[in-house]
Amino acid sequence: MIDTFLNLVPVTLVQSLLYAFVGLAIMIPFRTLALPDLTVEGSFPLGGCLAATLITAGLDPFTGTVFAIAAGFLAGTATALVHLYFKIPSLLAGILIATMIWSVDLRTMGMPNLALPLELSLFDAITPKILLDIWLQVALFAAIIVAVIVALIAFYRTEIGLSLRCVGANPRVSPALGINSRRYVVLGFGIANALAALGGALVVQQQGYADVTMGFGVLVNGLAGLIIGEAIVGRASVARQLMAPVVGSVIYYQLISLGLATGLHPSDLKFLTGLFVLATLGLPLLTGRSKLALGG
Amino acid sequence: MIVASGLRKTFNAGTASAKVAIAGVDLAVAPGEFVAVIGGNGAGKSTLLNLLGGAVLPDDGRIAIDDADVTKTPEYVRAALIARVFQDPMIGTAASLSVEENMTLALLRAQQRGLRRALTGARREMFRASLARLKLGLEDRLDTIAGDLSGGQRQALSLAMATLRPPKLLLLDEHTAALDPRTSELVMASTVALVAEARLTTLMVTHNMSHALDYATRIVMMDSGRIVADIGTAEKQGLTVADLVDRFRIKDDRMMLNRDGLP
Repeated sequence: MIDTFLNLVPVTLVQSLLYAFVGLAIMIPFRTLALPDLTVEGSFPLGGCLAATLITAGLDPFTGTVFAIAAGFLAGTATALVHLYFKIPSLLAGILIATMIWSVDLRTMGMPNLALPLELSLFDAITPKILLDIWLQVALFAAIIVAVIVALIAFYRTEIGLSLRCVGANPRVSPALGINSRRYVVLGFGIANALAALGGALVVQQQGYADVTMGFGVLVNGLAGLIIGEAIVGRASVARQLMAPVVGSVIYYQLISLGLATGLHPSDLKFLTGLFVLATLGLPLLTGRSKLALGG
Repeated sequence: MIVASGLRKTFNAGTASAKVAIAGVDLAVAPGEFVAVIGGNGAGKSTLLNLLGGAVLPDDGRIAIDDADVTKTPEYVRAALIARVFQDPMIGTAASLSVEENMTLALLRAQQRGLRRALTGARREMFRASLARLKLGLEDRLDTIAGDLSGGQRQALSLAMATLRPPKLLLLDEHTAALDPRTSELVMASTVALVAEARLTTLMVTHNMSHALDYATRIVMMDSGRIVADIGTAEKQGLTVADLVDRFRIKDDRMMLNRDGLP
């Protein structure tokens, strides 16, 4: 059984590095803006379905991926605008937009799922060797996510990034400091869902197909990863906060793989993951240490 | 020159809980004036500050800063001209950001934000110099998270933030009221020094009669959403806290407690 797990380590690593984008996309609205957002359940498959459609239609994979990122940004913008102008709580606004995206995905692909020949993918365009070597994939995806984290750390330390953090840290003082909070909420939601869509586009090109249901459950998995990551690396600095969802994702998916290898039934996964999230969020409250709790 | 004319504001207008907060206020503040706004609870002092700062928009009337009409200007735009220190130390600073990050945000209050690095060596030096004048040692704690500071330190930081780039108008909303007496005096002393140094036009809401008498160049008294008395520098000479309280029959427990010589 342990052999099965060990054999799956690299495959699971690839999976976790790709799904780390979802963790990042959950973290930015939730922690930086203090406005939880569920749009990832829509923006992640949107990025995947759009990229698959465009690339199979003959567009080069780089441009296809860029379009997917842009679509994710728009999805996040839509949720933010619905929240800000219709005064709908951000969670509900995200569910609304994610639900609507489902139809957009079906319209885009014209069918519930779409095969994407791997030789058309971004990775084949970089070098065909990547698709044959799982460790090369691990290295590539690790490099991509590290580059994204470094870019985000740099962004968080710019004047605009600092203002974004201020909106989440103290919404009352922001306008008094000359910050147009609405603009930054839109920007933050946009960036987050652009990252989720990038994750979706990469997953599709790695696994060779897109499916409208690929967003199911990514939110809870991402949240579980985020919580694990925050428990390990903490939230004390910008760098730690941004690394947390990635570190958490890597550990979370290995734990799931270990569970499955040791006889855990796949259909019980969602329940157990939910239970785990509840326990990690609830235990600190019960024991009086609420650092990781939702209000955190 | 700050000019407010015919200001009116009713909260929950048209409902059973309608509350007239400002019932016609005309006020002109000359550059360099330090105006103390006093009055009982519910007199409209805080609403007046909110109207000037832009956190609340008036139903009627006009607000101009140096001839520029800002009546409808949103708070985040008006922040380029107006700085504010809140009563609650928790509101004036971003708790999860460091002292230097808070100062950076204050520095950017009146300017375009870009993708430049927020914290530079030059900016840190500027913050150090600015914070050193508060004499609270904050200049050596630039990377401390603001939420780890005491209430007095946070309020002093908030004051340093408000005065880092001299605003056209400084609004102080009972900014020493939540502090213990000793810290309150410290923050007040810093306020007076900073205001005098930059000759800031200041509007200070206070319940502390002696602060109003000692430091302001002019005292404006409000009642039921109106200005009921306006005492200039000359007239203020020789007035005592007891005079103020008696003369205007101030119905305010907190003011009574501050009255000198009462048992």
